[in-house]
Amino acid sequence: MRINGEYVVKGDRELVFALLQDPIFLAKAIPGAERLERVGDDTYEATIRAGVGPVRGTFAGTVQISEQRPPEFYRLTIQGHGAAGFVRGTGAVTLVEVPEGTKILYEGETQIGGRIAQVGQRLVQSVARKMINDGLKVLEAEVKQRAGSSASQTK
Amino acid sequence: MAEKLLGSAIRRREDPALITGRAKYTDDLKLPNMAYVAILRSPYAHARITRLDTSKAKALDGVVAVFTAEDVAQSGIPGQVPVGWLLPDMKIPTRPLLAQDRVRYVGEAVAVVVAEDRYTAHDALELIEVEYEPLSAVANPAKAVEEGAPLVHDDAPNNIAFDWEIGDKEATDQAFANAAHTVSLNLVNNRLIPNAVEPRAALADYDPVSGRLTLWMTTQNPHIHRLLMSLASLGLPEHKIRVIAPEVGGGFGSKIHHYPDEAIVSWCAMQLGRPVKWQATRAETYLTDAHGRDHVTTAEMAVDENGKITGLRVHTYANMGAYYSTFAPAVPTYLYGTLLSGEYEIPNIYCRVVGVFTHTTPVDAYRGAGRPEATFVVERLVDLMARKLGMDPAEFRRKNFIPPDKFPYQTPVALQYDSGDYEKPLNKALELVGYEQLRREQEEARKEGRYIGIGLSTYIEACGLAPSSVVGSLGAQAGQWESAIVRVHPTGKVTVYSGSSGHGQGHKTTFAQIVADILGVPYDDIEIIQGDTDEVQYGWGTYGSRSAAVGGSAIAVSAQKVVEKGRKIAAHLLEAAEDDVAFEAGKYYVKGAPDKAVTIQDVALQAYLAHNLPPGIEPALEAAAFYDPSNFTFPFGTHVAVVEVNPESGEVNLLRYVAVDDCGHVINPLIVEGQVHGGIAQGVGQALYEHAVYDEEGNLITGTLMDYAVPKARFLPSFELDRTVTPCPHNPLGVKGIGEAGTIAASAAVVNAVVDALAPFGVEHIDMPVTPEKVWRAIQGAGN
Repeated sequence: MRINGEYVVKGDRELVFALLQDPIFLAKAIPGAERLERVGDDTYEATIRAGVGPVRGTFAGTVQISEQRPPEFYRLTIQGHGAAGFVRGTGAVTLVEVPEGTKILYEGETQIGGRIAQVGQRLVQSVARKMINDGLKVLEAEVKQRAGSSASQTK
Repeated sequence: MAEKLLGSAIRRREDPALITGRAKYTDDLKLPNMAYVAILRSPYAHARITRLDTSKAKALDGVVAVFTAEDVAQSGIPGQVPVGWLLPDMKIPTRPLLAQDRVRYVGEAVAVVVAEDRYTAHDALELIEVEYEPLSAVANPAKAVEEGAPLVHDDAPNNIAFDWEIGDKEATDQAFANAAHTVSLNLVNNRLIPNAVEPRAALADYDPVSGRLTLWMTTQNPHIHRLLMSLASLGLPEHKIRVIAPEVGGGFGSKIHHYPDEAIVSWCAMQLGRPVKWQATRAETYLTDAHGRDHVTTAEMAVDENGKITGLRVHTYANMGAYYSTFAPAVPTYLYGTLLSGEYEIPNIYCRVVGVFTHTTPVDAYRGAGRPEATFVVERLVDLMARKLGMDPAEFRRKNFIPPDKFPYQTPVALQYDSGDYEKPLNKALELVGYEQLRREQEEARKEGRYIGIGLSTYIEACGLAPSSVVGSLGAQAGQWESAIVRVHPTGKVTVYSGSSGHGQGHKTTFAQIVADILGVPYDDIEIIQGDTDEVQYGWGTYGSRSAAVGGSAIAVSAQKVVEKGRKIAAHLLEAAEDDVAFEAGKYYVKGAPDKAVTIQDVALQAYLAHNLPPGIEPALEAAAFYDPSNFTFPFGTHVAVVEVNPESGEVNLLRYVAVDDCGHVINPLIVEGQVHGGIAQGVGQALYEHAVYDEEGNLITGTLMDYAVPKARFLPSFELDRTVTPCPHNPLGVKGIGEAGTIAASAAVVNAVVDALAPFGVEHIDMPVTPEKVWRAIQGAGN
């Protein structure tokens, strides 16, 4: 399954880049994240509760960041599995400065298997899209809040 | 006895129990101290198991045991799931009960949990920790043979399971070189999932004191399962195993095969010394029941300048899945290549079939098994050729039919058709559908921008499986005869023991009809016993439309033996010579003196009392027969589908369906019609709706009834049925079999109708299932 899209956040590119690598923020932003911690320089471990249609379950896995070029690019490799199946994938995130703030371009290729593939295949794409969009909304709110507080600090 | 029961449409005696819910299926059975089994299945199509830890699952409250392949190996049983049909030079990979270090399809069994209740068993599955190292997978048979494709088995290069051929290649190539016209077709025969209403189940009970295993299971052939359990899987002696088929809710082939699961369940019972039960979920059956079809084929037909077919050339990649299912190698070879002559005189035929391993669920016999695939190839080519020649498809068929005076007819692909009269059902079907009028309506409709199509399928099948020596010479590791014992009790009541094993066909009705007519005893005085290896002497079971033709014949022969023994006793009682004693409607009488008579019931009583038997006659009145047919049977017929296609949306509306079948003599017309109805529904299902789809990684993405479309009643018109009767010349009942005919004929009839409807757009073929999207694309792609 291929996923790609773009999203514009009203905020500074450095801030967006930093947030996207901040485990405390990511645990908040990823829907269903029960645990997310950095276990190495570029590696995170996560436990995420997610579901597709009638199949729900907890997925445990790792995210590895590579080819980092702050504040404009990084690549990530994810793998996770649980009783409901497994997810594997790679993706790339590019941040571009635009007049409105920062444009996030993402693209990825994932493979899913197990019960989520058997039962939920036709729903997976839309569920993934919804999770990404929900996460990006949290990001947007966070950026807005931090921009606001930093603005009030400078006053 | 007033009237003949053979041929009368009496209602099935099975149905009151079935429709009132009193029938007992495997999952209805409960034994004291019974535990429940759940099986962990691979989520990967291809992976190495790097770690398997069952400790957390074992620690769950209520879990009795968790087993892996290592435990099976340590127990010292053979632990194999064998293949029952061998082809020359085929690769035979080992198929284990539980995956050892590698999994090869999604759904392959990895570990098994036994728990005090079913919910705990399923919960414990989630606590088993398995680490997989994913490997690349391949699902499509044509891609699996390409250089560099991931290998399913290391010792099967290019994933080639076997490379089989039939017919004369050189002569066929010559026929194509000399042809006036040729047509060719690339097609995919879509993979199907059997959908028996009852998913597979097993209940095993092992008595460690006697060393006996009793196994209730969803089976079409209990004796075959006992044999394979004994020889290959469990290593228990055959006489220490009893396999029982309780009520079985349909099979369509999927319950012929010997799967790992029922053997695992039996082994768990042996390990634990307590009864254990497994009931597959619907999702589990989708992943593990052997699938059907899945061919990628190139086929060509050649004709001479007179429009007579001179050659047929077929190349097929047949998907075997990850392992051989029990009779898998026979299906795309001897049940496919041998049927490619259809109803036609084709002097030269050559067919090559490459069996291919892929990372998918194994493929095996599914209603029709090879013959729907063959019919589809032949009937599509016939239509294509008729169009190319500008001939009416009915006329082109008529011109090429094997004429009635050429039977027995030897085809160039091994079979000898014993009988046939193909124009009769064709004429009857065309008349029934109003063919000429329909063609005119089709013309008129086209002027209004409406697209009606008429599709013919003039099919033949080889069934009544099968002459044992013939199938043996072709690689079967089984006989295909059938057994029967007809036992008349002292009171004249009758019990019949049959090696057939019905699971929806109505054997208890039709077999009783046969016996009632031959013995002249009331229908209600006859009981049919089947589906139990301890009660029934031996049997090869029910599949391949064999129950009436082979099982029924065995019963007829036994019943006739009973009549002859009774004649000796009656002659003695009547003080007449045996030759002077006639038997009719349950009475023995002296020829010319019908008043001087004894009934078969009188004779039965005397046979058991044995106070006054003629010299040399043993007491009791029963007879056994082990009937081996001398040939296959060859039902045939014509099916006509009428469709309307909406060119805007691509939707296909099946307007009418006419079927004229010739299954020889009919035992019970109600049951024959029921079989034809169900068969057509499944054939239409393949043509328009059903498709088991794998993604690139080998995930089955049509894994539920939400994603895999089974035809609903409202998708189908009322079928218009008729028959012709050309009796089978070599069995005592003249019957041929009708269980698969509908499925064999229907998919070709429907697709031919759709393609006929779209003729104005230049569409020549659409692969099944013919979904609205494919129809729409075909119309667009045809460039009109």
